[in-house]
Amino acid sequence: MASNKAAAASWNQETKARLNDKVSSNINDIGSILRQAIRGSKSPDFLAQAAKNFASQESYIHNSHETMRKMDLLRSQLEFQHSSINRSLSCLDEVQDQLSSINH
Amino acid sequence: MGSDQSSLPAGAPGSTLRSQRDEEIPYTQYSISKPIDSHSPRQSPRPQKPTRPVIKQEKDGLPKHEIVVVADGQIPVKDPDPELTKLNAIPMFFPILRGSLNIPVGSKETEVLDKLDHKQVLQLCLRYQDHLKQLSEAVAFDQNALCIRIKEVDHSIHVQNSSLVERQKKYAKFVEQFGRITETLSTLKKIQKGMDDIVPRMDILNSLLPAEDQLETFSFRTTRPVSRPS
Repeated sequence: MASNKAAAASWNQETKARLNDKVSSNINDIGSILRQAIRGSKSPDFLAQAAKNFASQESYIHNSHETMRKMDLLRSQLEFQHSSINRSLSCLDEVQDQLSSINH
Repeated sequence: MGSDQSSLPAGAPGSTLRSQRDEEIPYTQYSISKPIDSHSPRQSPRPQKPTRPVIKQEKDGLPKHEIVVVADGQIPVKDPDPELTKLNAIPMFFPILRGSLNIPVGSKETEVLDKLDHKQVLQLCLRYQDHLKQLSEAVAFDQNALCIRIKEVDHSIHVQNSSLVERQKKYAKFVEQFGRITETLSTLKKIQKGMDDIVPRMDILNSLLPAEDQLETFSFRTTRPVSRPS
């Protein structure tokens, strides 16, 4: 009776162990299938490539930023020149008057 | 030795000690209950009268002067394991092989009992793989388009910059030429002033000369023979 019970218990343990193994191997297989699915679609490759490309644009963006700053300086210089030309133009009338007074 | 009543703290029910906190000493309530940081209006440390929520309906329109005791309400229990909670929140679903569950109620005769078509599973995985590929291609395409756009914008900015530089140089020359106008003006003014100064004096000197040596009156006009083409 006791030996029957011991045998039954050990047989129980055996089935449990085998079930464990089966379940674990199933899960491992599922994992490998999914890994294959992800690697096979090459999606991480594409995405990594895209990220690298985008990161390399950083130099262009930096250049554009610097150029825009220089353009801003140029714009302010042009403004200055514009105002000085305006001033000179307003003196033009006076020059005309002087010349006419000299000539008459 | 026993327990001394005087060794108990001041606020305990059995002690005979009285401190400032316990007794309603007049004029001290504000200094005790004023917190150091005025942002958290803490209650007075003294035991207060509980509120009367019954009277609250009467005082709806009036400004509330009552002291409200905040009860120890429902403190949200912190989540010790967020992943476990998420796992527990997954709704119940059946496995693909419904027969693998030993459900006592034989509900809905399971179509597929023990056989799983490996080909269909393969098709499912391939479809998933294809889906991932399409998604990644879409994202990569958009990113590349953005890269090209950035390069275009950069190029156009450089073109604009060069045109601005040229314009600025041109204008610098103009400014220099126009500046000469101002110089001319100032020179002319000096000449005018000098002439205004000299001409009267010349006339005076001229009049002082004897009549033969007198020059004619000075004028700016020069008499030049005008040659006409015949």
